[in-house]
Amino acid sequence: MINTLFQVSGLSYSPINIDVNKSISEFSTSSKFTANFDSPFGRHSTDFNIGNEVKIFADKDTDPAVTNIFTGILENRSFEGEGNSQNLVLSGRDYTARLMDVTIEPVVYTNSEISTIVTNIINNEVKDITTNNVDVTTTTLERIAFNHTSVYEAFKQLAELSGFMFYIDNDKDLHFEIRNSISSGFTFNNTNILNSNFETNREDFSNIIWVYGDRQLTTAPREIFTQTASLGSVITLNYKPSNTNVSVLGSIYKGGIFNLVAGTSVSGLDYLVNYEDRQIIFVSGTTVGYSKILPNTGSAVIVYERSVPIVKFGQDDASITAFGPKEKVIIDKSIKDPLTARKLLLSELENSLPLDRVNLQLNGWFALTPGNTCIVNIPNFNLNKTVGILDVGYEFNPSNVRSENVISVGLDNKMGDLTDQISDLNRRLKKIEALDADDSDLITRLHFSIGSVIAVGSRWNVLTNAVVGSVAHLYATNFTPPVFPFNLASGTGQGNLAGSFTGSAVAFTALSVIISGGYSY
Amino acid sequence: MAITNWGAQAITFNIGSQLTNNYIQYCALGSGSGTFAATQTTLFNERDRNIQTGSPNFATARKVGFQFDFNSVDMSGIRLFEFGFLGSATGSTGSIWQIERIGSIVFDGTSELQITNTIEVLRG
Repeated sequence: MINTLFQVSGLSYSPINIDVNKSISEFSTSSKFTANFDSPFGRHSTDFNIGNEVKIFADKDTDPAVTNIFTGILENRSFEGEGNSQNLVLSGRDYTARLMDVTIEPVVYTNSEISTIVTNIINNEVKDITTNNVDVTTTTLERIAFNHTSVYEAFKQLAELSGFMFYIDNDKDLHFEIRNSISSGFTFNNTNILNSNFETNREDFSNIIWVYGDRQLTTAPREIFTQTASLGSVITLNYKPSNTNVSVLGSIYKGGIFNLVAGTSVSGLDYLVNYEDRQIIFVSGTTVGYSKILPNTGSAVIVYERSVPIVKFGQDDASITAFGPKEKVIIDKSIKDPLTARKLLLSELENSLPLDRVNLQLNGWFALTPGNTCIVNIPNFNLNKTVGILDVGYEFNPSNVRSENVISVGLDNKMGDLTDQISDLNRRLKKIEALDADDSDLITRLHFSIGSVIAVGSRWNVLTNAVVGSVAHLYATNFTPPVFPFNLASGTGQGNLAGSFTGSAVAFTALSVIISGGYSY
Repeated sequence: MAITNWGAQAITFNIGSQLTNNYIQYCALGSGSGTFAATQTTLFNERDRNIQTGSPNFATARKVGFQFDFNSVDMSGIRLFEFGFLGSATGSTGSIWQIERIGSIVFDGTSELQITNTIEVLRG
């Protein structure tokens, strides 16, 4: 029998059903839970608050269970009532939620090894999470920028670039480690599989990859034209011009955009720019009534900038031969250097073969962690290989804990579904919206706070004593007592016996508190 | 507790490292009467001033403790009404952190006096 233990803020409760789902989204793992309670007459009306820490334990034949399969936060509490029944449904996510709920202030990392970036982001942006299991990667990024990207999305990007994956364990520690590098030690075959599904398709793979990053304006070589019989009023440049500067005989000409204005209204302009055809057109003709065409042997010096794109292209020829071409175009304006684009390209090319997906319903108890590996052996499906664990679902209810049919797993590769597409759209939208929040912007670091410091003390005592008679004292010659009387005692005072003389003084009772006051704490 | 304006300013200076050698080190005794005002910079009528015994006690987080001892000769003839804590031994103006007023205690030369004071700082 599978036993469970459900704890909220350290107190144990007994839900009717518990569902726990741990899933990996290619480069990350996150978990969520749902628990259903019977709550007659408001039994649990005051037991749970949003933000409480939830721990779920499960084990086979150990009661109470001790294997922690989930640690997270209570995020949703829903009371439901109908007729004489009242139910309570709790749900929440694991501490990966901390990564999803905060963004990274605009920052650029230059020549940084990826694990140092991960650690730095956690230290700067995330609460409650430690970094004891952030493994050093072999990838050093020349440059990567984050502009209010969520920490979760940033880690996904870093994991993708390094071939790692990440998750928050049940001790709230971040694991950033090589994907599928740890074996779970389990083999799934006809002794423990209740039902199975093995699927291969060519939907989500691609073997021709384009990566388009941002474009940068750079100064084009200066071009000088001298009027000849063949030059006329139109000059063709080597590149499409931006920010043109045309000077003729030392005068800077005033420019406009070709075809933007009606012919009769271009008066005052000296030249027009035809961007797509790379042309500079000097204004002339009867409509405008004047000519800015270069005079004979006159020269025009044209300085301009050209737009240089960050583009990387790659393909897997073997895959194209075997499965036909399948293109994927990635347009990401947040990529502002070619090396990042290249790393993304290489990472995408790893998925240039049709993807396998295995789903299993298991009998028995297995403590599984997404991102680890296991062996699947189903000869009738021609399937016998080591695969990564993508997601693990636990469904605990009175029936299946007895039959020990609580675990379902997804293995090998994730097939993109509608949720993934919506998530991807959301991610791309955020990237577009975040473009203007560059790290070079002037960003306020002024924080408003209501904190203050109060000296709440003091607790003071006034103590006195009273004379009770006389007492003999020993003093060294010329010794001035720091307090009077200075009683000879053991320790450092003993050295004063030599050369000391005997005197007498009054003796006092012990000090006692006469008055005290102040803030009592 | 009666922290003076000067004491509050001294705390502010200390937060910003602007104050040197004006920490509480001395206790002054006085026999003057009157109502405490935060604007006070002296006791109403100071009679004696002693340096602290030992060093400040920082054993407890966010607390600092002081002890001051006066012998029977110091105290002889003093009607103690007020006491305060200062940063310097000389001069009685402009550097008093805290002033406390009590009902009078008369000293006739047969008693000693000890004053302990613990200040706690909390986040507001």
